[in-house]
Amino acid sequence: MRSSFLRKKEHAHSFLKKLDPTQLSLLQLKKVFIGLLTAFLLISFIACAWLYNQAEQKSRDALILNMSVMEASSAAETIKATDGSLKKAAKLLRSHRDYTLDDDSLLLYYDDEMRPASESCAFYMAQIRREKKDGCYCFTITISACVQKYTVYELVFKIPERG
Amino acid sequence: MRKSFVPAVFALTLTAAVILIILCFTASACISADKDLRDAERYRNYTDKYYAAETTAAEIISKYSGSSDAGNTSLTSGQSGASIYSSPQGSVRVFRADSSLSFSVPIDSRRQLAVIANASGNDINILKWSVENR
Repeated sequence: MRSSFLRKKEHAHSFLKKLDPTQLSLLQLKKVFIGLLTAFLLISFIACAWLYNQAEQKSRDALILNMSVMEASSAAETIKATDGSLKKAAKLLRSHRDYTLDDDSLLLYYDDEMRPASESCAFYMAQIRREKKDGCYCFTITISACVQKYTVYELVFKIPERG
Repeated sequence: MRKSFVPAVFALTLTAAVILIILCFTASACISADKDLRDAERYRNYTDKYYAAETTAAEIISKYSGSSDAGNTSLTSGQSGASIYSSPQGSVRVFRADSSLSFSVPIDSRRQLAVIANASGNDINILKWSVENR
């Protein structure tokens, strides 16, 4: 009888202890703290991944744009030096071993780092088109991605037609 | 409970601090890449403007050398004096004496393409072709 009374008393005591408001709030505080830290870690991890992806993409876009502008202006100067002859220009652009030449167009191929490449492993290509207009040769150099079919850069210029 | 809780919080706080540092580095890399892209776009714009000025120069030479009938000018080939050529860059004053031509095409607000050429028919001899400050 007495032991049963003691057990009941202990049980009541532990129950009261559980209901202690300070103890409860401390437990809740710990849970909230861990929850907040975990949420912060998750959000930070996602933000890190997103920012890294953005930085990578922007860096690559900047590199490709710079290289495209350089390649287009280099081709333009070569064409100017040959007085608008695409055949002579193709021969002068010696780093390009693989190119497609027509009467009024020249195709140059580049790999994914904008280095001269063959047609089979081309990632980007430069199309140079020539038109005769008002006593000038009008050239359009379009650098575009071969697979995704988007234009990276386009340069239009004219040179006087010489005899 | 308290003994297992403290190291866990310490580990989590340490990880949070490390991730915060990585986040700062990634953000600075992103800002740097953004600046690179803006610089590349500025370079592209300048190249476009330069070649637009070159195109206008080619049109002017072609017009005044007499190999073209196009262009918006009041001076016909063979005449001497100054005339105005209307171009996308604005009005260009073209000076001509016999077969010699001189003009400056604006590239942007600070620079211009200065050209001096001897042009007669299809025989064009460029004496000066340089970018100068305006």
